Amino acid sequence: MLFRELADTYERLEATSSRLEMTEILAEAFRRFDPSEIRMATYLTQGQLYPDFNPIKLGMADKMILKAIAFASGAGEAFVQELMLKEGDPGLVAQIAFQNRKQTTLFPEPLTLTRAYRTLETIARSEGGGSQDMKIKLMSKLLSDASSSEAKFLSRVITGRMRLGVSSMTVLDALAVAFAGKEDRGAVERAFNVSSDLGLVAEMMALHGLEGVSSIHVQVNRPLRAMLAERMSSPEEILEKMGGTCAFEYKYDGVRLQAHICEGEVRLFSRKLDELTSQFPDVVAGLKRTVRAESAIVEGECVPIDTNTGEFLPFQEVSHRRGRKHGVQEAMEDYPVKLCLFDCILKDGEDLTDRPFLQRREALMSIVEPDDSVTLSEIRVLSSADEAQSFFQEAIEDGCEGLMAKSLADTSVYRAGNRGFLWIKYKKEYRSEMNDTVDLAVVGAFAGRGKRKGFYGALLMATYDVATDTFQTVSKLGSGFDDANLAALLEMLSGDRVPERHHLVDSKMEADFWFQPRLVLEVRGAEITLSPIHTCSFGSVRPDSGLAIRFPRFTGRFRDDKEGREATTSQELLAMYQAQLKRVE
Amino acid sequence: MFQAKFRSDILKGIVDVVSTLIDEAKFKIGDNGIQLKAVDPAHVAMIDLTLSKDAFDQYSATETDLGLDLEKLKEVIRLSRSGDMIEMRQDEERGRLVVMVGNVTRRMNLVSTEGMSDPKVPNLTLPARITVTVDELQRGIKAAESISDHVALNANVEGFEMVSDGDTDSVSLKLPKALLVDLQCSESIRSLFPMDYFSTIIKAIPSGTNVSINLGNDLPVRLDFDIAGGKGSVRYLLAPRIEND
Repeated sequence: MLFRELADTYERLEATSSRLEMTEILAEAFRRFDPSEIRMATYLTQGQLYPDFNPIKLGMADKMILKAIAFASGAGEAFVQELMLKEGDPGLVAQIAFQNRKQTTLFPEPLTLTRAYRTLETIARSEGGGSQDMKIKLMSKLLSDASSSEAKFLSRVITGRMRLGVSSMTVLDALAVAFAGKEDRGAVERAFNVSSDLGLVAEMMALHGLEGVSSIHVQVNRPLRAMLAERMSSPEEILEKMGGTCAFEYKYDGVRLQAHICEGEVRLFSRKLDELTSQFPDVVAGLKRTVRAESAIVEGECVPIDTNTGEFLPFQEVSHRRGRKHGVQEAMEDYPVKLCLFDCILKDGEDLTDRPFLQRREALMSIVEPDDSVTLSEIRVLSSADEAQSFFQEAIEDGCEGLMAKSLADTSVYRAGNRGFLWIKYKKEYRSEMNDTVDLAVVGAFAGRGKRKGFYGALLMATYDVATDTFQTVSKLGSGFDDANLAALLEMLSGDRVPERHHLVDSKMEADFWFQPRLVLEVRGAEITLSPIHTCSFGSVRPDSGLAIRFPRFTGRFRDDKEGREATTSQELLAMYQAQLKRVE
Repeated sequence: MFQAKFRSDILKGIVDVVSTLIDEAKFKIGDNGIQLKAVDPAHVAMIDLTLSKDAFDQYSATETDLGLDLEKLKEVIRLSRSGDMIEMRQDEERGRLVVMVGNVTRRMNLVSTEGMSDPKVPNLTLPARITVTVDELQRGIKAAESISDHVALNANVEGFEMVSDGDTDSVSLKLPKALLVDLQCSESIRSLFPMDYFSTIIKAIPSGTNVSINLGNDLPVRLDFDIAGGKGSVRYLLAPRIEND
């Protein structure tokens, strides 16, 4: 088929903004196209060569495509650049430049869809020195055989931006209309959601109709589109929606990963289906160690951890790992992560998407032997709003965003690519950002491990409560210490050691070592949160919660000038919490 | 099998011309010499080159294709002075070319010739033929290349003209019949070409070479010239730009 047929379809699509009309135009085109070429046409319509999860992408820089346009049309670079300033779209620039084409070639060839697609593939795959010039020349050759309209769309597709407004959902609509009926839209979308491959779905529809797409199943090494959750703002509401009982899980604050395991090999995909395998070799190794299955697809959240406190770190820490090509090893050591698994989508070749939630959880438990780096998500089946609320507080205290509620109904299947009420997220409504440092007293410590063996791994920190003359715990501090600090701390605290919790210290947490509150450190935190474990201003905001400082970090400043009772008071921290309370999104 | 010994300027003559279009080339080695056909990726220009075995001091070969990286050949040429001898030998076992310049031995991996197509030379009838020393053209190019991105080649019974028209300036090089080596032209002829291709090839031709410009109206131009002291020849084709104002 000639590329012109596709370009004509694009012209018609571009002329409308109505999704209904787009569907009609696309459906008509799909019926007309050669079924063996529909796959290529579908990808190109999305400004792609392959499905989303393929790492090879189109995306030639504007600068380069403009050179090819200037050359192939003979319009000259100055003219083309000026046009680009005015139009802002390489497609329109090409359209105008080719209306008055000047340069010819020695061997004109017909511009077929296959030829256009193959050339774009060669361009997208070529790398290395001198490849820039080669890419421009290959594109020039393609453009030199193109009409003005074809040149417009070739110039857009090569940059990966089609500007047609045709979403994948519109393509699915059109496929249903073209090869089945509108009422079969659900089956077509299901095939897309489990395969993430619009081109495949189009080809199967064109060749075999509904039967074709119903044969598309979840498959290892082909990521499926993630199931998403609705949001509600109280445990009462959630329980009512869920029919009185449901499972609550920690909602971890990290990077969602879909792990594909097959014959000892592991590949990782992000929520957006980008492959992240090479950026998380530790997670890959962890999964190889802990998952016992011939083949499996499991899903979890990858969270950065502080190896000294065992606590989760802010989500930003894990983002140091993403998109990284070099220094993965260093990043791995500097920003260790833990994978908390929460779903099992395929086990030993069997697609589990149609199984209810608890069966999938059982499958997950049956194949995973958790260790330090790979665990299962914290989960509780609850029917009381109060219990759900305190579980929520625990989650926040543990550095999570909140809870995910999951339906226990038989209909609670894994709905790939869908947002619905089978899963409901319950996140903090407010956050209290810390803009200032606080001075906290050291009241306890935890033994160091690994690199910090023989030193204190983390310190238990407290505010001073003026009303009761006690020290109330507010955080576990493990970040911000260099080797010199760690050694100095051993020295400084040696005189303060007491055999058990000091009588002035109010703590629910058990420390390995206790101190009389004397030494004061300057600490910076990200946020003040409610906590069922820390005792600072306990009961002041909520009956069963105190205040905690999330993501605390030692600033490096020992407040030798202060004594214990001159630490920041619990009353001050409460005032800070209230003053800085902000609604989340 | 391929084994040869030759003066370094023979190699330089070939590489200078061919590398104007491509980075890697397929040399077709035969009993009687070497052939090379290459098209640039944009299919705007092509080269058809032949070199007789007489151009070599020593030449023994059976038919084979050698894929060579032209950048590496340039490095070899830089090692030598004009008049130095170069020896080449194909190492079939290792898929390499062994090159000796004086006491230096350079071994280079051959490039795969798979996917290097053999372009067919288009059959063209070009009514005018102007023969001129390349030095005249080089002077004209020097004056014109900063003026515009295209160049017009005109011919009539009286002579040859090269014109470059820019937005503000223009340059023309006029060569009456008396200054040409030969002129065969019975009508007024004009074609327009992309400046960068034309200037690059003209500059790559060694000084003193006679070039025949075969020209038509809005047709490709074919430049014919000898290399290796007449023991080889090049045909260079360049697609025209079309004037449609």
